[in-house]
Amino acid sequence: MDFHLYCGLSDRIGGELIMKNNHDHTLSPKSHIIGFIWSIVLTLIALFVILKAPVTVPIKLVIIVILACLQFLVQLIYFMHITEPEEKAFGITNLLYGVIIAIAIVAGSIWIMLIGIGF
Amino acid sequence: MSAVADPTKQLEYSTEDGATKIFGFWIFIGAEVVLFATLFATYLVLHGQTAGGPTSKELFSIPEFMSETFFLLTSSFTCGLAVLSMRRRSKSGYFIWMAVTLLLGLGFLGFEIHEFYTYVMSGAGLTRSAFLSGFFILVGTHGCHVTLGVFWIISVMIQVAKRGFTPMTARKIFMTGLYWHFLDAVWIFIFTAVYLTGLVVN
Repeated sequence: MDFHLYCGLSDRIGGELIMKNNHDHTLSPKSHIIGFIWSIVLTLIALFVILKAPVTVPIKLVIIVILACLQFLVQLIYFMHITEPEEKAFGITNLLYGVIIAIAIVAGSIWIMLIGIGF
Repeated sequence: MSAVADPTKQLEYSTEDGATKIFGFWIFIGAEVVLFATLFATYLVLHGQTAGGPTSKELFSIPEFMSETFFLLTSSFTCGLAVLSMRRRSKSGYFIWMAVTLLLGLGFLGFEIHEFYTYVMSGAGLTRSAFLSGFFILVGTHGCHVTLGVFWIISVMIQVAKRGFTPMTARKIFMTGLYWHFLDAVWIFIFTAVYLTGLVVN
């Protein structure tokens, strides 16, 4: 990331910072606008699938869960800048661990409590 | 506290203190993912246990939960623009977009409070059935997080008004942004697993 700021002594106590490079991609609202459009489109598709799609209920549920996971990725990438920090490998690993535990809890509970284990 | 600022990095990452605390906040978000997972699991398992009370199909109103969803999705977008304004060192941009975010957040809370009020007044309160207990705890916990986020954002705005953009306030702005986007992500799963699913499954 080639982002440079002129950073003098006064900046550390709250003075104004002067930007040398204002063409940095992280300073453009483009990715936010793309993310916003995606999130609206995915939401409307999910509602449409539930109300109008000519498929069975289990297939509808699978489709909307996939759409929700895509929405989660949109938030992480376009808004939360998960790929930005230097230690992103640790951050992503940690989040992935949380997500795996979450899937185990939710899918495991549904499996045992609603579907049953066949006894 | 903070060491010398590194001018080659974004202001919020420019000190070791800032970068470490942002990483710590990601660990907190990981823990929040697991917290909400337990509430989702409880709700989904109890979804059919209505004890003769109202079912999700009877209760949920499409215009109401769609309004909530669009308010929160849009507020996540404007919150992103507020953090972007901070990176551009635009104080007015930051205040305007954060104020819009807060208004949308409060609008969301208004719809949610109205929804809860309607349910409780029609006899579908927390204690009516296992389904409604799971519903109010899951959606209510999310609503509490949004309420906390509103107060947190306001207090950070006061600090920015007093101190301007420093490595410390920039880090706080960035963290409130992460928190707000995360709440939007949780809402997406509530929208999917509670509201949309509740329209087709009893």
